[in-house]
Amino acid sequence: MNFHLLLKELNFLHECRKLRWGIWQCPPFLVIANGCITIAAMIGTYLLASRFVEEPEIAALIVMGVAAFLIIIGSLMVKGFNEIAEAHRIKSEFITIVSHQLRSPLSIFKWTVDLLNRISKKEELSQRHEWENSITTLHNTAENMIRLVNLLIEVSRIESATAIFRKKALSLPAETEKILRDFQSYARAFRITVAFRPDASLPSVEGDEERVAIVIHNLIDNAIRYTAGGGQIVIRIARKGSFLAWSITDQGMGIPEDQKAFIFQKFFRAGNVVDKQTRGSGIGLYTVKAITEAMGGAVGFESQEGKGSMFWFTLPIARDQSNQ
Amino acid sequence: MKKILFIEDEQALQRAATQVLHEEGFEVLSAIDGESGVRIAESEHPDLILLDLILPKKHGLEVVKELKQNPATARIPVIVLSNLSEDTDVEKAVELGAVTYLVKTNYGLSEVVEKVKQALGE
Repeated sequence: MNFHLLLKELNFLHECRKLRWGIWQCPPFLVIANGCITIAAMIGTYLLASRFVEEPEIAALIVMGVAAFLIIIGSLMVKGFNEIAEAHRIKSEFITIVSHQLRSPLSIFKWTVDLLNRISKKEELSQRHEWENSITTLHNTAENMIRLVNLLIEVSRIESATAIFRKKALSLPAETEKILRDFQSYARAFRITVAFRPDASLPSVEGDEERVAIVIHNLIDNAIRYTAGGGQIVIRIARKGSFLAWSITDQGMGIPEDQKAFIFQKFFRAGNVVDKQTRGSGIGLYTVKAITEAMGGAVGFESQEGKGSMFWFTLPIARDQSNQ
Repeated sequence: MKKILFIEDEQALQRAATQVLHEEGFEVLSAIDGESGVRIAESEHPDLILLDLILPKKHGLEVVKELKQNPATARIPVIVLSNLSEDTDVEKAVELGAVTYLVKTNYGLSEVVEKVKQALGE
């Protein structure tokens, strides 16, 4: 039994495969390779040096070459260890941020149920309005939690390269209209009017329906949420060569110049946004970029702080429609 | 009637806590960001402050610091009510002068009211 355990411990390639590391990223392999190369280099250098002792330059060149090779292996090892440390740090950061993001709606749940409990013990009709408000709060909070968990699962799938994209021909205008219907009351609450202006006779795009919905949902949600005090958002869809370009323009707080480079990074939320709106996971735009690029499209934005932003994404036109 | 200032940006939590604290005989003042929280504390002199940490405009720890540095508000007991639960957050809040640190998901409304009454010596 101990022998089997020992063999399992020595089977580092199996461990690295489990973690989806290539062989040149696998620290245990690199350590052993480094050790073997060092031993071979020492023996080889001794043999060659003792043979070519009258030509010390050749011996020196051989030693330098071997040393350079060992430095490369050493660098790969250090890179591998750094990646492990970074993965560990990202995991800890992820758990901290996600725990807080999930706790927030759970607190709302807990206190709203407490309130309903108190109300149910009274018979006054005047409490009915508060009862209905509380039920609506519970429903909306549950939906938000489900959306967040789904987004986290999507991020995890993308990062572990296990997402399977079920591509088919989709109508971007139809998908957008479906999602806009869900946003009607949300937009009204923020005093935002939404203008939807797709070009006429647009061909279908090729994409995974569920994931295209995630992209559109995130971009509309951001445009509404980060436009304080009312305004208009405009959604356009137009043909650009063999792609359709979907764009959303808002009159919101915009993005500071020094933070534009980070906007698609995981967990990044621009400083001016965090200052005004504490709710937000920081993984929406990261997911939008990852999904769009995985479907053969691109994503980008233009923005001016204090004036607003325009976010866009493109998706390839469906193959049987590209000649239309 | 004792006055409680609740500084919290989540409206559903404001609504629930305000209702229950009213029923328990407290007057409740609300602030939805750190800046207005400090302003209301300075003008209304509540008997106790319930304070979230992740707030728009000013972080809750900044709020505690400012309140404790101002002689007019330094003696108001502050109970931190947050979903952040790292030891560093708790230590920092207590170091700055919070009397208690409660992790929101761990306390129901009745338990929060109990803590409020304890802090007021009731």
